[in-house]
Amino acid sequence: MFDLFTDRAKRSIVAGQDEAIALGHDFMGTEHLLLGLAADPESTAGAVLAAHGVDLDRTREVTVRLLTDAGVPATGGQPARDALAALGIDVAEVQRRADDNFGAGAFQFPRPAYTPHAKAALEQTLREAKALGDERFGTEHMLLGLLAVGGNDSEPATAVAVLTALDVDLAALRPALLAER
Amino acid sequence: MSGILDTRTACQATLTRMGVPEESADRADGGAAADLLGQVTARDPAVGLSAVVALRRLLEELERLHVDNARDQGWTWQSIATALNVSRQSVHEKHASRRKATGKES
Repeated sequence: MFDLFTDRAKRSIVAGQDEAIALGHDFMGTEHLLLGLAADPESTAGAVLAAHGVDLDRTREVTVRLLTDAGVPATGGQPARDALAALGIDVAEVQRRADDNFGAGAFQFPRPAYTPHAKAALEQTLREAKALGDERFGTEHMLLGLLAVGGNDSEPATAVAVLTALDVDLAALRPALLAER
Repeated sequence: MSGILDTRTACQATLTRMGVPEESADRADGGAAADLLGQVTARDPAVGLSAVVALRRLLEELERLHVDNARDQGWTWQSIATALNVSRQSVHEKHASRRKATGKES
């Protein structure tokens, strides 16, 4: 179903994963999806975010601050590598040989796994696109999906917490996205 | 923000079809690798289960790598499925849309 995402939306997901890895986060959360969107100010979502004062650097800075305050460790996936090392599997060596045989980046361990909120945001992305009658899923649907996650009784998604910390008027984003698309 | 850690109830089946890997990272895991040698046989469930998760994540990554390699070498989905001892449908559902999404296949 990822093939129904626009190229821009797919690139934002890849950019988000790169952010997660670069920050040493062994998970792919809504905050990383948001970083992926903010990374491309030419995209529909990126443009709306930029118009509301959200740029990649500030978003990253606030993300790191919030996660650090919440005690979420930036392990770089070391516990997973250590666990395999204890079982006699040298991940660094596997990595080296895989890079030699298949090119750099083909093997990524540990690959950040999606959090429940990030999964919910992607599911909501599909619903937003369908509700709007759009066949492809674009960055605008992704941002709408992010905004819809974790409301009411559950804990807000980290992406929403980041936007709030950036003083973004959350209620203004949806109409802005709908006007922009 | 602790709510991110719980409620692992998202619709995994849908997401698996979408190419989203099974949620398995333990974001609260900050422990060192002290005395992990006996972990696959440890009586502490947390220890044994974390070893299983690490192995599963490695397995998933290796499957992805070798399915990609097989497809790049012209293998059919059926041959890959036979080699993996799974149905053609399950291997296709798991990998085809991901490969399309990343431009590895049209």
